[in-house]
Amino acid sequence: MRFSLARIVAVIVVVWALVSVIAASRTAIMRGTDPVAAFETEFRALSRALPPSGPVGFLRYEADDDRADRVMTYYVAQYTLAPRVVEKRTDLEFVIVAPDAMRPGVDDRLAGLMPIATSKEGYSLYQRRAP
Amino acid sequence: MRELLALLIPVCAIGVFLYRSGWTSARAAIASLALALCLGIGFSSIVSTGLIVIGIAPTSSAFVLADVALWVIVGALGLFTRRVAESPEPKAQGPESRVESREWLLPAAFGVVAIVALVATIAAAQATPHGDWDAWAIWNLHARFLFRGGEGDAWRGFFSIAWSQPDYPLLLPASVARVWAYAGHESTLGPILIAVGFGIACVTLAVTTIGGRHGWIAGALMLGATTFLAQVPSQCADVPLACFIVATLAVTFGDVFRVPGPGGRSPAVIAGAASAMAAWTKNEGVIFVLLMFLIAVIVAVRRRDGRQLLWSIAGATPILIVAVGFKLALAPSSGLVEGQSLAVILTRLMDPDRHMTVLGLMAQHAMSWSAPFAFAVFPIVSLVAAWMAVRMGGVVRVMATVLGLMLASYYVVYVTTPFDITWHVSTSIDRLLVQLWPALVLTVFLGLRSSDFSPQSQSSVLSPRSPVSSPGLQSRGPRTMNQGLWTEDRD
Repeated sequence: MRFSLARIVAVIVVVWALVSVIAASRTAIMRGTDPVAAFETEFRALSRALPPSGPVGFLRYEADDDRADRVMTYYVAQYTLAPRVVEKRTDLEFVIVAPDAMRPGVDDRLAGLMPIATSKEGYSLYQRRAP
Repeated sequence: MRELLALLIPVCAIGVFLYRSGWTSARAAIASLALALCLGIGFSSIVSTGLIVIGIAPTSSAFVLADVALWVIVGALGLFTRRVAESPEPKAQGPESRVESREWLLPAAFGVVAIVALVATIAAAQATPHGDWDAWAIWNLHARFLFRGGEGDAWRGFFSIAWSQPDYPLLLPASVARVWAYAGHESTLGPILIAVGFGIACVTLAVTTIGGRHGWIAGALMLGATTFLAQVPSQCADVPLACFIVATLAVTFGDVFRVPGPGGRSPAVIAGAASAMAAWTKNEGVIFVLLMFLIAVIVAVRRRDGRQLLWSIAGATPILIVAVGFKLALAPSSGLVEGQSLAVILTRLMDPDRHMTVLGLMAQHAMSWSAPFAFAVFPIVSLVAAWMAVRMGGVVRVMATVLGLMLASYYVVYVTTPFDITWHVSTSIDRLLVQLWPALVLTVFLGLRSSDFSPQSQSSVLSPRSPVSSPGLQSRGPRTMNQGLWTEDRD
């Protein structure tokens, strides 16, 4: 076999590709569980009490509302509850409340609302009381 | 596995059309299957969008019945289409015809790389069945709106969710909703099959278009880039967009889809359709369509023959009507342009700090793209493409120019972005490079293949009607390529 530069480059590319895809396989196999699936289970437990469409409120976190994990919680709520539109406001008929979103003690943002469903991990659905 | 059936129905219907176009070699047959896969998903997404817009919900049996009926009609029309006569000329032979004793080594090595890559893809899909962040926050979220809200107007709800990029086209969401419609329920298998299908089609199109040992090496190089490989099961639209870019370039510049005689219009129609599908996949695809249109116009002017241009426009127009209609009639404006005045954009363009920031971030991400197992793989391959474009000219120069202009347009968008530049570049540049990676590899290896032809094999490939190079696109090197729509007929 003639060892030209082209052959050497070809061998390097193929060996490198093999090492890369083996490493990628190992990384993929070692990946942890999907957090989206876990969050989805939580919000699915609340969806049964909701109408099939329309807006649903979502209580803002008192602090660090734009933290990645909190953004993810809000986004997964939307992903799970579609085609309802989940909005970060509390003046709606239904409001979702994450367990760590409420202020300590009495949270006046939830005035006029009462919990009607709670998931395993403590995510709650509040509904506005009749006046 | 009704999800798989949903994908196969349009693939078969379009496959019949492609078969009737006169492509007969084994390489062309495999390439046609890959093309049928991506075009099948693309066209079926348009049908699904149409059905949903007129009020036929994906959860209803009428949706599946209408879809099946339409594809049966399309397949039947394909069967009744006159098959293009085979060329009386000697069959085009790629460099693979020069088989050496150990030539099986490369296909075998590529096979091992491809199988391990498939294992990685399946394992990643199992670990994150809903896909990456953007997949569930954008693409699959839109798909859920289309599927769950299709009975009334509730599916339009995602247009009001600003953070989920409501202006993004519907190729992927409508395809996912369609697959769910066939399955009868939402399954994570549907979007995974679509994502993996696009990945396989993308690599297959590049490998078969290049052909021979260069094809196998190109396929290995493509899959060895772990950032690209990781994007395949991500369920985002970047690999589908990459697939349509490769499909367009393969049909336009490759010789695998070259057909003789009156069937010669088929590649132009298909190239037009594939480029328009890029615009129906993701906003970046609009830039690609415009660039390909510009090239088609230049070719038509140089040849003084606008027939190929017209056939390309004929292929692209129905899809572009849907894409433009979606943008104008349904979707809100893009967050990138909303509220931006020309004065603000010009001010940003004149700001040297913004340019330095974007250049620095793009260079940094490009160098570490596919790390830790690759260092500067994207810049190195880009430099090789640029060097070949200068040295060889011909289609390599045109393809490299298209990709260079795509990259330049991404750069301009970053410089003028209304968002925080660091955040915008850091969260998207890797995926934008994924969009261009397969086409970049295709460009380099098509160039390598053409420069590697021996005079004997070259004479067997070039038909008597085909020139060595195009006037005005003259090569500086000893050999240029004779390929696809780019072939200039002087008779």
